[in-house]
Order: sequence, then C-alpha cells, then structure tokens
Amino acid sequence: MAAWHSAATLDDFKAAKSKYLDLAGKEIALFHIEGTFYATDNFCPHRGGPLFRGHVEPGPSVRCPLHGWAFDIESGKCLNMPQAKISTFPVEIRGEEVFVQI
Amino acid sequence: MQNINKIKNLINSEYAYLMAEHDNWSLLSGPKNTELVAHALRVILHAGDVKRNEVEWLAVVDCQNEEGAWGGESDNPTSAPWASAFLALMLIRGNVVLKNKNIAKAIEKSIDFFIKDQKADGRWVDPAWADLDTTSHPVSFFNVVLAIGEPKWKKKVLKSWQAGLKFITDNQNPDGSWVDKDFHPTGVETTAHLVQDSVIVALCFPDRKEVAPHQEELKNVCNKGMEKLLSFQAKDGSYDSENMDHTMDSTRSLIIISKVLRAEKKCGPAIEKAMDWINEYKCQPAGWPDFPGMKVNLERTCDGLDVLMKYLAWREKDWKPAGRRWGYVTGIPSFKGLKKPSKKQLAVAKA
Repeated sequence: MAAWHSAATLDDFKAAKSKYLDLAGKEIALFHIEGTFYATDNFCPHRGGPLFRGHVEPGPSVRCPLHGWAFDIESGKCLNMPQAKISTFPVEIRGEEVFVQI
Repeated sequence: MQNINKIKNLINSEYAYLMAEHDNWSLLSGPKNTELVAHALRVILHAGDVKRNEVEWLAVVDCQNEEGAWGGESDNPTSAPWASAFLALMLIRGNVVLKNKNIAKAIEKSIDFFIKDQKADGRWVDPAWADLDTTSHPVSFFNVVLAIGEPKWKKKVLKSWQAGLKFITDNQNPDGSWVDKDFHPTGVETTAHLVQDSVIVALCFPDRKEVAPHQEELKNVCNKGMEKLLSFQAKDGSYDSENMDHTMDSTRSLIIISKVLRAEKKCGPAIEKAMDWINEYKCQPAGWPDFPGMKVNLERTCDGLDVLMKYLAWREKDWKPAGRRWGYVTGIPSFKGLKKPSKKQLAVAKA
C-alpha cells in the first residue's frame, strides 16, 4: 500500500532543481520546476540513465542525459519512444517539508 | 600531461575489476544487454586479450538472429541496428586474431543485413536512437570492413558506405555540430560519435578512389566538428554538464581527430584536461560512474578503460596506433604490459 515519505526540505531546492532520493527501496528523481514539485522513477527504461541529472525542458519534460529519451514529467509518458513509460508519484508540501507518496 | 606509468597501472587494476565482474557482462552467464557486451569485448580487444576470450566472441555468434542482426537484449530476437553494428564491429575486429570461419559467416550475414536495412537516403533507423547516431554505427562497421575486411566484402559495402557517409556529411550544421532535435538537442554526443566513427575515417583511406576527390571537403567537415567539440568543453574539462559518458566520447573523438588531422597541439590541452576530470571522478577503488558521486556503471567502466588505452595510443608519435584502436588500420591492437589477473587479484577486485 502506498505511503507518504518525507523526501526533502524546501531548503534543499534553493540551489538545486532536482534531487536523487532512495525512498522505501525505490530510486526516485525529485524535480522542482517553476514552483511545482514532481517525483518520477530515477532510471530511464532504455539503459538506466539517471533522470535526476537529465535536462529539464518545457512541458515540463525531462530528457535522459545518456541517450536522449524524453519523458513528460507529469504523466511519465516517453515523448520519443511512445511504448516506454516511467512511473510518477504524488508530491505534497507540508510546511517546509516535501513528501512523496510511494 | 598524464603520467604514463600511472595510466598503465590503472588499466591493469581496472581490467582485473572488469574480469572479476565477468558474470555481469558476459553472454556465457546468461542473457545480457548487447550494448554492454560489445563495450566489454572492445576492452578485451584493445587489451590484446582476444585469444584467451574466444568463447565470448562465439557466444555473440550464437545469439545472432536469422536476419544477421542482434536484439538490444541478447534473448530478444528483434533486430536493433545500433547495437548490431557495434557487435558486428567487434566480430570483424576480433576475427583478425581468431580467424574463425563461423565468425566470418556471421560478419557476412551482418553485412547483408545492413545493406538491406539501409533507407533510400542513406540513413539507418533504430527507434531507440537518433537517426544520425544510428547511421554512424553501420558506417563505422563498414569503415572497418573497408580497412581490414575480405576483398569481396569491401566490394559489397562500398555503395552503402558512401550513401551513409553522404547522409552524415549532408546533415552537419554550419557550426560543425550534428544535432537531433528529438534525442540530442545539445548535440555533444552526436557530434563526438559522428566525427570519430564516420567522418574521420574517410581521411584514413586517402588512396581510395571514392574518397580522393572529396578529401578537402571531408577534411573541412572534420575540422569544423573538431572545433565544435573543443567549444563544447566546460572549464573543468568535462562535457554536457559533467556527463561521464559524453566526456569520454568527446575525448576519444578528439584523440582520433587530432591524430589524423595532425592537430595534437591544438587539441592536447582539451584532451589532458578531460583525462584529468575522468580520472578525478572515477569511483574508488574501481570503475566509473555516469556522473560524479554516483555508483559504478559497468558500461562506463568499459568506456573508461577504452579511453585510457586510446590515450596511450595518442601519446605515440605516429597516428597508426590510434587508428588501429578504431580498427581503421590493419594490425592487432595490444596493450603492452597487460597483467593477466590472477585468481587472487580477481577476488580482491570483486571484493
């Protein structure tokens, strides 16, 4: 059953736009884009590229830094390989903390 | 400038680590990602350790599909052109040492696959990759066929090779880069791949009648690509936001371009700076990550070993040892001073 996990503080995102998280045995990429937080799988299904180091592009989407597969950050759908998908996770802000539901 | 003895010691310790990780990359221990397999075979090839590892090459032949290609995963028969070209390249280069008839048959089958699979405008398509990047790999395979292959194979691939090369040169941007808007908008990796795998080789065959009339044009394409690669480098020596893969790609590309164009002085500082960065951010005690601070990625470790061995070739006066590490020059690449890892070393590396 999905549970909420404390993932980061708002301070963590003063300098960074993304963060790698190991939460409940899952590797997660947490993004802060124009005031909104998004959580996705960290690994690209192509060759395991780390999405938290990916390029964030308008949409918003994240592009895998290794071979360029791009994913809609809200739906997880791959934009250049339609059959591929990553998981996305609900995010909530509680006070100064960022929670992710996994 | 890198200390040659340190680089040689590092190659030996990293090679022992790769051998200790055998079951994680070898087809002999079960299905694998074929791109990873090709990366590992390239290291063995450049270490001059092919003969001892013949079974690894035969395992690649065993998982070739009916079309003459390979799947992205060795147990998936759906042809994946990008990975297939890489494996075919390892077969033809390894068979210079092995001279195995079954491997030769597999190479010919693969040549037939790529000729058949090419599109009318010269490109190859693999849905998982950008077309430009995909095209550079069969062209790279055909480069090596033309350099070291059997005469009948050379005849077979010539037209297809020319069409592939034309597709690549026609798609270079005026600033020297190659960019794919769907997969690689920054263009760093694509530019690095295309110059080293496809375009530079045309200058390695100055006597071929198909190339001779285009020498100047190709030299210009390579020069522009080289300038663009130099401009992509960050102040700390890395490429593409501290991307280890793309830094290694760009460094290798500069190694072969500068050797063939005799631009070692121009590219030397960038190569040395990149080598410093690559060595600084490797994992301890062994392996390389995708980005600084991350855990070991075995494929990146293979790339790391490949860069080190290519760097040693770059430090030699003649361009041919470097050319040989791409398969563009006849002869067998070797790493003088390779210490075959003992059982004890393997256990230590594994630990």
